[in-house]
Amino acid sequence: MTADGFDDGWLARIEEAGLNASTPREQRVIDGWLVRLAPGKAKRARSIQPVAPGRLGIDKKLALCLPLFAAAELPPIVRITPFAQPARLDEHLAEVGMTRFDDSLVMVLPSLDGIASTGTFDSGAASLETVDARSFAAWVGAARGSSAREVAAHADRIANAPVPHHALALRDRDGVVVCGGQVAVEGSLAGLYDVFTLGEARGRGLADRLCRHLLGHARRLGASAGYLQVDAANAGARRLYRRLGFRDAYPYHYRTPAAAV
Amino acid sequence: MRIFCIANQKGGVGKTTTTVNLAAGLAQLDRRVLVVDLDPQGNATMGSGIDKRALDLSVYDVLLENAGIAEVRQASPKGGYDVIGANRELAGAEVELVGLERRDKRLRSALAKVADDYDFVLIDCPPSLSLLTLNGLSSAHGVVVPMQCEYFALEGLSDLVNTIKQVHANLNPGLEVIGILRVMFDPRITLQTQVSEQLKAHFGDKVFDTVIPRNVRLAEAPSYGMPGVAFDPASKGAQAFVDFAREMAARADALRAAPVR
Repeated sequence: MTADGFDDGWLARIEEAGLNASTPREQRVIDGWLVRLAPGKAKRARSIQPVAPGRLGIDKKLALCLPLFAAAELPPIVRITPFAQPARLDEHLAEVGMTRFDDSLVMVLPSLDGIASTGTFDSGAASLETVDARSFAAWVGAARGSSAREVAAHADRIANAPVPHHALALRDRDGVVVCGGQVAVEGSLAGLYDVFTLGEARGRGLADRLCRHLLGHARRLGASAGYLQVDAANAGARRLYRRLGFRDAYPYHYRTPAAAV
Repeated sequence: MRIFCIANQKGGVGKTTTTVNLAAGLAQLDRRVLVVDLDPQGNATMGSGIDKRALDLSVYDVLLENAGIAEVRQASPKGGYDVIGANRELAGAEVELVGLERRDKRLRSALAKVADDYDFVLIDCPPSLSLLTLNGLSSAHGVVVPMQCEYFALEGLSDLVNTIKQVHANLNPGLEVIGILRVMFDPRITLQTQVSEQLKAHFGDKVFDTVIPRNVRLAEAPSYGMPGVAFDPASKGAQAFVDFAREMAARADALRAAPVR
């Protein structure tokens, strides 16, 4: 399944941890598929996660799922990973004319032992602090240009997630948050989420340091490995994560009816 | 990182109980917390579940610059925060520091190196005006004063206020009294209610809203090596400290130059 020789069982656990960390309240189970309908920006919380094959057949399942998206006023999206069920789901969706988009990657860091979170950002000029779900969602939403509805959905999802999230924000000397991110810790697995640096503050290694602090904190909470999801086309982000020791684990993408693209 | 001294020049007023329970309460609110025990009695160390007699390195080594905080800190097993421990060895530091340069700013320099690792540092100061206390006060953004509502308590307070004024003028212009915390409070005792009212009248909103009641579970917890907040979370004392942690977190946020934006 992967070029890097990671254990399939472990990667399946990583995939589950990613699903658990992003569980929205607006979730149904339809014949083995998780149907997520959170009105936020993150597609993982507003898409079908086809985790089990079920019994009905793909077309019948889709016929049950698609009206739920319409009712929630969201475009219907299916997230396709190497673990998607039933087998040949991706091919089938392609045949019925669903378009592939947003090729992404899950990257993993098998050990957090090399992650040191000591050391400071240029001391006195910047400060790193824990922020609550609502403040973090407001900041990262503003940074990404999210709508008020998306920001509210994001805050709601992190505050109520079954897996605890910890958000850190880095302020510059003027008190403006220029870099932030979250880590979600489930047992031994720490997931990095929503790592973002404002445009004018990029290229200074802030996100690198922030991620080290997030992972260092996760380690203190008992995590021993890290994972994250990244846009496959985002070369800068992938370079950042490779520097931290993350390696490509498995790809995933989304499909949606052509009209919704 | 916000640094607070828990100080009162009167002994036995509940400084250590306040330090470890505020630390555990803030940790429950998902804040990253470091407790620095600056009292040679080592009660905050023991009360955090760390054996002061078995310390390889302690705050003594930090003050004499034999070791950095990253090497000395230990995790409190039940508290959810880190600890820089102290024991009787620290009493000797007083004498050794006198001949050294920057003798009153050693702790401040050491804390600056881990500024990004913590949201809160709580320093348990000894009940005397010594070089140890000065190291605490010159490091801090603010002082939290635990007080029993008894007549003579007010006298100790005026000494402390004078000390803080001097430190403010000579060592640390950023220092301020964050607030006065009423501890071991028994509303059935008329004098305590009267003193409590006097405090409110005299110090206004510098008196914290939260009142810590006299509570046997808080008193029992140290012998189990746990903050009361972890030892019996349902007890009235533990709940009061969690409320206090919330109030402190809000006051610390208000102290900042700017909100998250």
